[in-house]
Amino acid sequence: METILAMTALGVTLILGLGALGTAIGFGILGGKFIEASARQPELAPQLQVKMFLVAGLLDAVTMIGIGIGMWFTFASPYLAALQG
Amino acid sequence: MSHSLSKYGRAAAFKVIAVQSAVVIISAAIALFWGFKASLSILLGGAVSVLPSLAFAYFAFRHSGARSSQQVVKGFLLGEAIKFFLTIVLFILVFKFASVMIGAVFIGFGVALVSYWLVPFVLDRQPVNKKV
Repeated sequence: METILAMTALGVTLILGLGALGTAIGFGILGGKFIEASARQPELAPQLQVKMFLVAGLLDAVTMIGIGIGMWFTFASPYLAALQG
Repeated sequence: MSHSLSKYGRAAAFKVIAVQSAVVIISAAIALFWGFKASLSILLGGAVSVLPSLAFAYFAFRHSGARSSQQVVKGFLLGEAIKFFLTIVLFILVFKFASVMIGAVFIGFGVALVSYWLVPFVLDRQPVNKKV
């Protein structure tokens, strides 16, 4: 049981940490490109902002799924249920 | 200036979220065939995705225009951080305090995410070079 709890905590930490890292790198690149593009063509800035919003949703989708799975393993663990049931 | 520019973007963002909410509600209505619990689970799963997106849209479109592009990026980063933590908190609330079917929660969450991925194709059909 302790092993399951420890491994779950470790796994969830990795899922959340690596997910946040990936999103942060993606947002860094996205933000940099946005500033660059709106400096080059200022009249396009509002439309680029909408495009950035849409791409941001695609960018963090997999991380959000990871968060969901992580919270499931932490707060309604199927492994503990199998062990106890 | 910045305020009037952000109006166009905010309207587009809220349109995306409205489509996302509509898809989740329709899915929950269809899930009523499998019982109230399945429907509620899909609704809660969808809410876990839609509410943080709403917060993100609010922070992402507080500023607009080329002159405030650094504030725009700051708003996006703040919005993303809030979205991240809000998603965690909402998942904890759903799993800890609501009696739900976990598979259905993930179906609702997945439906909301997939609808977000599909909305750009719908939005692209509209005139992009609209005057602001």
